[in-house]
Amino acid sequence: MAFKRYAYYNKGNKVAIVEESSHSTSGFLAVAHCTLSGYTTKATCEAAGGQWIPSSGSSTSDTMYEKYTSPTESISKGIEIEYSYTPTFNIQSTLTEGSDFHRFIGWGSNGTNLLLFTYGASDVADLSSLFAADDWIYISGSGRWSGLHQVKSAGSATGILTLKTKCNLKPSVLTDIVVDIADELYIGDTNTQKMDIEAFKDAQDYRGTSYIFVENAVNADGNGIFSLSDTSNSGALNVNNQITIDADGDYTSTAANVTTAGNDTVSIYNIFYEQISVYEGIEALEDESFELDLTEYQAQAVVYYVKAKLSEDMRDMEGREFFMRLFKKQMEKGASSRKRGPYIVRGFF
Amino acid sequence: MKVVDIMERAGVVETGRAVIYIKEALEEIAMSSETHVETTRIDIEAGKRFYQLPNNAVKILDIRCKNHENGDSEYRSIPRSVYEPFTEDTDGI
Repeated sequence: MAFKRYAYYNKGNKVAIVEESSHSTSGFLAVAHCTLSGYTTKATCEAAGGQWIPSSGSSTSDTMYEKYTSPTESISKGIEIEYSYTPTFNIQSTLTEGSDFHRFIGWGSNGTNLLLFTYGASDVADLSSLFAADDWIYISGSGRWSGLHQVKSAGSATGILTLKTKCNLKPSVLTDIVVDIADELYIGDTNTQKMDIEAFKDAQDYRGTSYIFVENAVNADGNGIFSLSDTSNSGALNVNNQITIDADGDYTSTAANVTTAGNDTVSIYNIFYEQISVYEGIEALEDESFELDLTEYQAQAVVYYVKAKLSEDMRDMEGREFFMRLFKKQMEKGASSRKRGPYIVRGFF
Repeated sequence: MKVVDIMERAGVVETGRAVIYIKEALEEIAMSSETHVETTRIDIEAGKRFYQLPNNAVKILDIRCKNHENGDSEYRSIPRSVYEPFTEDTDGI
């Protein structure tokens, strides 16, 4: 795979990823390349009898410059973020698939709340007996939504799980829209519905590949998660691949083959495809019985913190500062007690 | 240690109040001592510059990218840019 150079900067609550690329003032890219097509490294190029042209070999090398732009290539799992989080939950899942461990294919929104979507091997997945309102769940595998969440209402029989987490996605859903399904096209039945579908498509035009979740179609194969192929069919959604989860728990993407149906009333959600794992059997910090996942020494620091806050409530600022100092000292001592011996300096490679 | 033990040691009798203060303490600890660390991976999309940070992230410890300064599909730490690049993102998304 290609050698790349990235950098990041913060923008509000988001992180901006930029990639360095070579440009020349003549407007042409002057990157290293092979005289034969299909070879991206010097070794394979020369082994095939081609000539490797280095990036500095451009005739306009005196006007070459490097600049950072948005990433030029899609890379699956390309960013890795390491972060600290608050241990306000304990995962007690036994990893029993279908019992306290579940796989979801994507996330979306109903305009207010976060929704998770799934589908079986060839039919909708019934979640009604798996999740109850107020259950705590832990999400992993989703870059944005990883962490603790609470279920808002019982799982649906059509493969949708509604969470209490707020999520206002635009567009979110076309509810009870009447469509004609033919040749992998979901075509609005009336002009009004065609306009709704067109607006739905336009609002997600910025995405490289858009995904939808179809619910309540009369035929089982008309439901589920689909990628959209193009936007040229006015008033219609052209589905490309259907994503399913097979019996082994593998995610598969195969060409959609949707049975023709007329005047089918469906709901269509705008979703983001991610391979999400959901754990049940979560104990959340809600009452006195919760066991903190900290060492005894660190837990003592929590006692100092609580005492500091109580002093603050009583407007005893001296007491607050005293206990806060103890809290910080306790944490520092706890951290330094795990380091022994001299540090060594190493290179980057 | 259980919440009830902390309540007894600190002399708090209201559970709700204790739970909120303990959550604050855990957040403060995550900020300064990083007792619990997790790693998550996000897809890079061509042309997409801005990515949402994980919802439960308290402190970002490292950002790594696949193939950064290597061709072996390794994840390596990427530097933070002091200034925003001159070339703006076309759609700001």
